[in-house]
Amino acid sequence: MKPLLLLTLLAMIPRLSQAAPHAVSQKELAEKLRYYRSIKALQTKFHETKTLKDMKIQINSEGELTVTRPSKVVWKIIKPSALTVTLDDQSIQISSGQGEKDESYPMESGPRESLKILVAWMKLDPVELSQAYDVSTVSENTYRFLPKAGPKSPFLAMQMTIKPNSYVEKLEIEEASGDHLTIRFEKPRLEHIK
Amino acid sequence: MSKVVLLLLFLTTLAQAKTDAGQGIFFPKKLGEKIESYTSFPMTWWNFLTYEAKEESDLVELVILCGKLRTEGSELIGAISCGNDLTSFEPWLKAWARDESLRSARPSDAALSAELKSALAKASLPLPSQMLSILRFDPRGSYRQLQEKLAARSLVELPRVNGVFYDAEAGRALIPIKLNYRPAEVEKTAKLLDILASLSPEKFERFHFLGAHGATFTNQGLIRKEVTKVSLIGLFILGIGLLAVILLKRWPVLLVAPLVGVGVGLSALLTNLVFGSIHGLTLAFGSGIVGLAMDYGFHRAFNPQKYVARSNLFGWLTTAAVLVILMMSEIPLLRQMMFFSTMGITLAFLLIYIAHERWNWFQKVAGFSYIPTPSRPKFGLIAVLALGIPVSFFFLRPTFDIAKFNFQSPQEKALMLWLVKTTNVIPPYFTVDGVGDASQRIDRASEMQTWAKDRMRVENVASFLPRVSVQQANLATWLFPAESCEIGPMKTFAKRLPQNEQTFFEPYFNLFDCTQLKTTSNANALPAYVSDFSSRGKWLSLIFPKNDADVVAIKSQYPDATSLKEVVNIFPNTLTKELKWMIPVSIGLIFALLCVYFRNPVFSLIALIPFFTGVGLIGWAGSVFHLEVSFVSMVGIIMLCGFSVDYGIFAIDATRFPTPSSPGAWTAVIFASITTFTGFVPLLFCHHPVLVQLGQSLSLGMAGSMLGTFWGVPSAVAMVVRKGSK
Repeated sequence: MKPLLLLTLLAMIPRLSQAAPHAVSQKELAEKLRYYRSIKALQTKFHETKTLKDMKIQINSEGELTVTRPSKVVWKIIKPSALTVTLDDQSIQISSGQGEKDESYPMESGPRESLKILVAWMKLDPVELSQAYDVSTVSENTYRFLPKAGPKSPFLAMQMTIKPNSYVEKLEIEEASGDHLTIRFEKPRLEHIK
Repeated sequence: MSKVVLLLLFLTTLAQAKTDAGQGIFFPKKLGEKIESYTSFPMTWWNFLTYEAKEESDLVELVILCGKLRTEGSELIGAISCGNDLTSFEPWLKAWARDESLRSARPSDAALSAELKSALAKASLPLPSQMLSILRFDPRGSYRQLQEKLAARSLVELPRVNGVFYDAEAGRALIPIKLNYRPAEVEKTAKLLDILASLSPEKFERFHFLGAHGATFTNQGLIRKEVTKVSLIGLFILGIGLLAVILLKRWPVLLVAPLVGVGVGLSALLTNLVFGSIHGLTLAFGSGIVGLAMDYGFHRAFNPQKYVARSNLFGWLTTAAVLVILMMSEIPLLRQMMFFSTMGITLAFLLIYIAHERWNWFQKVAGFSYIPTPSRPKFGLIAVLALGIPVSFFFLRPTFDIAKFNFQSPQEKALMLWLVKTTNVIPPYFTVDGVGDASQRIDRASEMQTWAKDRMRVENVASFLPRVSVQQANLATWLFPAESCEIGPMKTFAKRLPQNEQTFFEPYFNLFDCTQLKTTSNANALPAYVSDFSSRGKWLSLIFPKNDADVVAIKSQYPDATSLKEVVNIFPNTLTKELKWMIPVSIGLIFALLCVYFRNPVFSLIALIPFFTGVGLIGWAGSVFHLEVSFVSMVGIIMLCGFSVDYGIFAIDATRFPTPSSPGAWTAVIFASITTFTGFVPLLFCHHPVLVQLGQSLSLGMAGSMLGTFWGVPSAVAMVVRKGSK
């Protein structure tokens, strides 16, 4: 009997250690993102895997992300080919490796819409994030972001994993098309506000 | 009154029946074919959808609505640019990506590989599925060239906000939309607008549809609405008239109406036999002219004197003379309308004659006891009225521009002005090429491009496709070795790629199927992105001159090149040239016929008084109130000529042969003029220029003609008789 009780208790340990999913307040989110508080800029390497659901294939890419507050984001892809996406509140520029502007895109506002949301996210501003998303916990360091815009949003959901007391190490995006993006970030170099 | 009801019934029929409604009939045959051919090119089927959007945020909803419209109206819409959604253009983009093999030589494997990797990097971004799809079949981004070419063609000089052209100052957005059908198919435009209204009933009022389709729909819709309105008023007045006629026990005169109706019907059949079809305008206006035959019936019914037969005969002859002269016009519409009117009025005249002589239909209809009294002041007033003709030479500027037929509400006028400001629209000159095979035609189109290079813009098939010899050379690099697709360079290249790239770019590699890759060889089957330039096996070229010197150069190099404005101007120019001889010849012929009838030139001149006073009143009113005188006004004046000379003859005979039946003759003129006058007055309350101008010329002409008949003719005859007796 005792071993059975012991086994039952042991089986319950992970459940007890895992907090039940709950909504995350703005204050709580600010606390979780304190690593990014008072930064002026950050730079980090990323490794991305995009899973195209219908084609059942994956596209791998890697590069460097630079965020300069208040709102400039440079998403620089190095592999499979050089491509730099520069975003701010006003515009989007996509340049190929040679540095030429590639943006007479007819459908530019298509990616702009989704990338714009990404900019807001990448600034990691808890106020903005709380305004745009319903945030809830998935596990202790993983948070789920559901866009408040509902079906108008190009993303169905995003999931962020924060290294304990540190930086965002993984971001997962579920696109409206059913495709899935997983982006892993390395430890960022930070430039703080003096 | 019945005349106008007859006319209105036919106008209603015009709006509903499947008569010929083409524009070709306005022009001499060769030019008519040219304009018909021009409007058959889908290039001319582009319209603009405007949307009142005070805030930029309104544009988001507009784009959503536009997307729904594209889906719901897909059968009717050829292409629509809803924000940045390229769904409408996907067939064009695919064909354009495929035909890269015709436009340029295949890049090296290394260059191609680098481009595919770049496309893959883009694909790694969070993209909407449509853009991902484009990257799959067009990884080299050739669609951007096509987009630049199409943007240049749209001629809109407005910034794009949220993917739509937006004028923040005016608070208005602009969406180009190409429809799948010709502007004359108004029922399809109605369906499209119904779809738009059902998608957003509360926002529908903010939309306006500008362009050939929109204008045709608005005009036909308005004509139908107004014809219905005027018909109802006409029927109401007719009802009162019928009641009055029955109460006054003069009902036999009503028998005139079915006789004229039979005349109109038979004439329509004859016209159809001779011309192969009958144009709606012929039916509408011609019926009004034929309706004038009722006057002979009234004259016959109220006046039992023997001279009436001769009097009616010359009334008919003078009317028919004018119609026959106008039948000599080069303009097919006028020829057809005058043939129809001549036949109709002749048949109606004969039927009325037979009905009286053989069937005794119009016996014992008593006239009223009214006989106008001659007076000098009245005659003086008539002289002043006739002075309106020379006055009008100084103040009236008739314009026969067909654009005057186009109804635009004040709001639409303002929108058109705004559109002209926001678009760099230079009326292009067009040429149509239907000779030889595709290769020869592309060569000629390319030569046109070379000729115009650096001087003016040319839009034709060669803007998108190189010469066939160049296509062959380029294509060979993509297909080599031509014997087998399986070992062609693209297949070999694809097989060397990693599996995920092979899968991702599968739609691109599928384009290089041997069965799909071919040079442009069929003149009737052009790729989707140039289909706007092709219709009925003919190809269109547009040349955009910048100034008058360019126009001269175009005319010298391409004598057949014409602008739509030039073609449309042929109608007024021809009509002006013809009226310059037709009017004096008609009046001269009428005068000659009157001389034969009266054997007295003075009486012949007096018989023209109602016509002169009718035209004189139009002249005075036109000069004082700045009324527009157009082609329709001229139709009205022809009708005026038809009935006013008849009244002149009837009035002279009633005055010079005073008998107990004289009041009957005057009653006939009263009946004829009142029915005509009250019949056309409701047209004055219309909004469409065609109906208003017809109403103006007929109501004013009729009023002037009545004054000339009742005040002018008896006074003039009395003066002549007095002078004779002295």
